[in-house]
Amino acid sequence: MDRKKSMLAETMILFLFALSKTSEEVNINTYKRYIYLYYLTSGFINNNSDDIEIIVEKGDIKIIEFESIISDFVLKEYIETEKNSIIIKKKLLDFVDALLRNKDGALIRRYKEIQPFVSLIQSYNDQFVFTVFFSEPTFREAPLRGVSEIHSANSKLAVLLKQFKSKVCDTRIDEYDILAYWMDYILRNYYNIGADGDAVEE
Amino acid sequence: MQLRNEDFLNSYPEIGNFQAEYSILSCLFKDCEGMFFLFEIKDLDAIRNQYGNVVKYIKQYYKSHEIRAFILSVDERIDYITVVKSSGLTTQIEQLYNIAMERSKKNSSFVLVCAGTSNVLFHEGIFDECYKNVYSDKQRFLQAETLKYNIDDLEKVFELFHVERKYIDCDYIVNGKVSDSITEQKLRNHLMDYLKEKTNMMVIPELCTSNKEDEESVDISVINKNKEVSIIEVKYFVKRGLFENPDKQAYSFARFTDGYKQLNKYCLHLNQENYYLHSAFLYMFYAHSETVGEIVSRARERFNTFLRQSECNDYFKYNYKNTILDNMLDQKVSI
Repeated sequence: MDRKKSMLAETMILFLFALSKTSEEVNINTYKRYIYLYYLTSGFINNNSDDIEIIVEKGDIKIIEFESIISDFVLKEYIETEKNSIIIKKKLLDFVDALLRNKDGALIRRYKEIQPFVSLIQSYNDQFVFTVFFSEPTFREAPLRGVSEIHSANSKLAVLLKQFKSKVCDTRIDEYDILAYWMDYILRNYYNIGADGDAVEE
Repeated sequence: MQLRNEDFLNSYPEIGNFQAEYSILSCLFKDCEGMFFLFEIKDLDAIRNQYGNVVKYIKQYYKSHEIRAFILSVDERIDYITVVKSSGLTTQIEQLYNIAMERSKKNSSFVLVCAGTSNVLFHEGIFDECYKNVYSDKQRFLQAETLKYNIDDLEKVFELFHVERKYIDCDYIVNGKVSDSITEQKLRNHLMDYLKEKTNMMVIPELCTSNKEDEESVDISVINKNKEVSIIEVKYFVKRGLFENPDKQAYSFARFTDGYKQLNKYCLHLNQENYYLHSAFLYMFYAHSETVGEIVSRARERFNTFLRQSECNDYFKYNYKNTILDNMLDQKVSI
């Protein structure tokens, strides 16, 4: 397995481990959107340059190696897939649990980056995540620019959030607050709800 | 509403502290729905790292016959104490508010009250208004979502589009006639904007239906959160005498057959591209002197003829749902 794929597999398994705390089942499309949004915001939140390749086509994304990693997880009996659902198995939890016992390992550092993101993103339901996903600027602008392949390292969203942060003077407001605010901003706009909670006249 | 990055950037004065933590806390109420408990946390940031563990712990140690305060300590350990014994659901909400208020003041902490329909946060003895606003926003999103239509309701949305247009001016109807400048693109865009507003789906113009075949793209496609796709081919025809210019005319009933042929091709190719094709519609705008019943008969005749042709494939037969007839000159009647 090449390095890029193994890094993505690591991210994907840590996501499933974090998600399993509240539910053993996750919608596979929502899960893919979580991974997409994680990588697209990672340059802003964690300041890391992990890159994944994403094909944008026909109103959807294809994360390179995503399907193949899912198949690997099924083969290893870490998960089961059923229609649109992934069911997280105990074998995955035991496996990741054992790896995370090494408190000085690289994996625990990555888990500490993923855990807060998962806590935040799962406070938005599947439909909200879908809306946020198709409103995300990198995805939204790709067809306008005639682009079909994007790299998460070139995230338009990360640039936008960085620009936003540079305007905010209150140092108590951090990257996660800004990400949450952006998602709420998208949803308020989508549902025509003003900041004061009233419906907005178009 | 058009989403613009500049508007987002200019909205920065509206952001408040703890936006992320409030969002996460608001989910605790949903994940532990129906439970009566308090949740106390001194360092609110810690909820980001411990949310999953907190939910798991509460579900493990919750008791319906007493009220427990679950506590996430500064060193991120989770524990509980019993604050009201042997009362459970009969406990008065006011009593829980008082306990939460006192504890949050005494410990300089945040205390969340989750009890039935109550979801209230206290911070250092004071009701936290900012949390209330974040939680209210989430409730408004959920409420607004219930008003959006999904992929199974498309025919209802088409009907609403037609009815609403009777009462709202549109630029392709002028003084009871069809505008000479009408184009298929204009009609498509109007319908597409309406679908964006009324449905909870991603609406895409000109979806290319095949990577291999060189062909036209379907006019409108809508995709839901489970990647189910509905495709809509938009066409129109106008009889001579119904345009502003009395000598102008556009197309004929043959547009029905053109539409079915195109949908037939798109259905085949989308299935080959592994789409979850949910349904296919022909949306026909028209202006004609014949009655609706006569137009329906003509459309049905062409549809049945097409079904008998060898080029008609099974995917079209499975996925075709309906032909929508939209009489552009069906306008509000004032007597």
